[in-house]
Amino acid sequence: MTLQRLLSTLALLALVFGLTSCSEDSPTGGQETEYEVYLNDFSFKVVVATYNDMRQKGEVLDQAVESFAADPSNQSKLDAACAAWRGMREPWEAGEAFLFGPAEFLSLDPSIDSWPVDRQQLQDVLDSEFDLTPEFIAEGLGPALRGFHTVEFLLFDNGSPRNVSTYTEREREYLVAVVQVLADDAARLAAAWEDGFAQEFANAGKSGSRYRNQTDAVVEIIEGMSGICDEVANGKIADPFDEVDTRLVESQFSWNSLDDFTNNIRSVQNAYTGGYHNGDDGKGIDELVAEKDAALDARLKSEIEAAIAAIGQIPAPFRDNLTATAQIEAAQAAVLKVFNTIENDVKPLFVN
Amino acid sequence: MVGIICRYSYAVILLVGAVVLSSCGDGLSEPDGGNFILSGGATTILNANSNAFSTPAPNLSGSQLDLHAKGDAEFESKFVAAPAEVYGGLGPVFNSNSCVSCHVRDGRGRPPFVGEEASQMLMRISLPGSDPITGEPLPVPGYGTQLFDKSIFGKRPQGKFRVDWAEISGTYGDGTSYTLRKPLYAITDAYRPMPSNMLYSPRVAPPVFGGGLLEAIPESAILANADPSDANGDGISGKANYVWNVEQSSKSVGRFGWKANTPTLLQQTAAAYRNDMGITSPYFPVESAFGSEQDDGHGDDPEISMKTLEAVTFYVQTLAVPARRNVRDETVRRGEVLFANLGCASCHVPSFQTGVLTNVPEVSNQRIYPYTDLLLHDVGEELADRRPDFDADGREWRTPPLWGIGLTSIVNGHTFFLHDGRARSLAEAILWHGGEAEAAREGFRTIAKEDREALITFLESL
Repeated sequence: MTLQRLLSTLALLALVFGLTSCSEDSPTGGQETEYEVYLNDFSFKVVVATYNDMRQKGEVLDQAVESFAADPSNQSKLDAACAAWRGMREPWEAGEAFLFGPAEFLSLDPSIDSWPVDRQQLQDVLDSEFDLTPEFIAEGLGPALRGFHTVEFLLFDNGSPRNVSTYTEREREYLVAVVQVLADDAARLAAAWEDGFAQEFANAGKSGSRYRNQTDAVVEIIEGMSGICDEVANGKIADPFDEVDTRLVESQFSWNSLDDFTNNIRSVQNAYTGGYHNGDDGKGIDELVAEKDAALDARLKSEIEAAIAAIGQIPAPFRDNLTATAQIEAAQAAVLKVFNTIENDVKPLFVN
Repeated sequence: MVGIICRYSYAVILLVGAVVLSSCGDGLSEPDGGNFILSGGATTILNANSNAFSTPAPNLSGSQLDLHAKGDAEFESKFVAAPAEVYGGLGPVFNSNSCVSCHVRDGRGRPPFVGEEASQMLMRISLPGSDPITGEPLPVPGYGTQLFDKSIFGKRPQGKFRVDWAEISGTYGDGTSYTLRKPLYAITDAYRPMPSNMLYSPRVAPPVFGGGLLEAIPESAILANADPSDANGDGISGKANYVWNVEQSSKSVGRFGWKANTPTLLQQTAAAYRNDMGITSPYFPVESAFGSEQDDGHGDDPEISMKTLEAVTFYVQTLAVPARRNVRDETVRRGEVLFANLGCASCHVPSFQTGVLTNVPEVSNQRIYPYTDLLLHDVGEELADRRPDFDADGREWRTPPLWGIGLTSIVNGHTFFLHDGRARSLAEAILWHGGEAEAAREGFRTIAKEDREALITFLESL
């Protein structure tokens, strides 16, 4: 048993003992206001800021594809649309540490980010006579025919914007309509947080919040952070790497995979420090950790930076470098180090 | 893309915790040393957030944890139309394109909102009568035994269904009024004529965590609570559903599904792949649409391997059960006493000791607190679907487990309960009970307001 594991075990022992001991204590842990400012800043300065950025970049993408469709032989218009896709992709990936709540309650995660692309059905739809309207896509087709990756498939080829000469009119029509659906989904997600869930989350422990106490909400943030580390290391990187199978790479048409992974770890950083790069810096739970254990806070921050740097060492594009074993394994290890620190050292500071 | 494949292991701690507890003597432990905070025994997690239903059992490790993680990934895989490079074979008619889109975060599905298409709920259908050998409900010609309300592009869904709601009012014993919403179903857009005597039964996706523990309960322990002819005269029957066991080619006790119509999680998982998604496996290699005009004729079966099927089955078998919360709260304790005194616990049996589930030591030999007897009960005319399912008649439903029920809102964002999600709260769910549960319901309806609230507070602690 490593020291970390031992400490974690002791912390959890305390937790179980606390839960099951003979003495009375308050069911809410008596922390009515201690974390309120942190939860509030997480809700508004991290999550709402992230999703409002995505909503706004969704509008940019929407305008870019319309502009391309209006001038279909102009390659620079398509290039701009591709850049706008990457722009909108960034806040989404930088939000993967907090997909609880509205993203799940409203089934927006599958609508926004379904993968793989259903290429056969997409071709059949394009070959059909149906009017390719946003309503038709949103209501008549499933989640596999909308979202980031369908748009990506229509915009990119081998990491670059397609050549404008390769488009059919139906493809452009589908592109315009499906981007509008994506932008609408992004707007719904932002609104669901901004107009309700953000305040409810910040109100943890108060009447009307489904979070029974503030500690449960802080642990929700922490598990969101560790969860995406786990997924990046053990899913997004491991699945194609273990099988050496390019078909399993996410964002494979745009070659955006490494940026996706990096932004995923940025979402951990944002959730931890309570800010979003385009907005106000809020009070993050890093301050709570630092109060209890300044060395741990410093270590986690440097491990997060190290994970981002290690992902940056994987040669791009990821899909063409699945045999870059040393760099890929180093990146996985760096991300898992963040995961272990969050789960074994940070979480036990709060769960009692 | 969401994926929580967390790997952490607190089994040792939980075991130590249970030992600590059992020496307390404050009423939290039982004479057998069980700890009713740890609803799932050593598979319990202390978690009250959105991951409460989707975390691996803490006593998993090594290759078992790896298998769970593989199953987790497969549970989230989205299927697409064939031919495809990966995850092909969806449909051609289906209800969902992934496990997780119905069982969101391994939790509870809900009926569609007004104007929304159903996505976490399906409609079982059949003709009156049953198969003379298997006992299965009779398929509707051209349809089968569940309505496929989605299709890949170019095929037609078998039909759609719509739910409308009618408010009905009632009054508590103290004069406080309440309303319940009664569902009214309409099947529309049928792709071919439907027989007028067709039976139908709506079902929301049930939570999937804790399944392995339920599977590990010895059959003898389930049957010990059965009293099909109410020999003891307490008004509660309790009947095992004997259902077709595909592996054994014979009948055995059903445990899973709203009518306990499936005997094992392997069979349940294989059936969900084939029926809900149109994905064939070596277990069920024939497409759900085979022989109908909806068949895609691809001949690409099986579309998933036995390994995948087994990994997903293991995943469902080894999801953790969330621990109870607020158990020392005075109101919770009072509610628990009321739960027993009103007779709720006659069917929602608090505790079982699991036996041995082959290859799943994590769920074997555990003291668990699922609050179900896994038996069928007549719960009255209002809840009746009038569609028999093996030995379950049109008024009988399996007692659903209650563990984790208080976390539904935080995980799934709603509090819609019962087989069709008609209840908008735990109180409404109780008020819908009838039949064998009528006395218990009347007890709830007529006790003092603070007692009703105490009972609900207890349920929320589960």
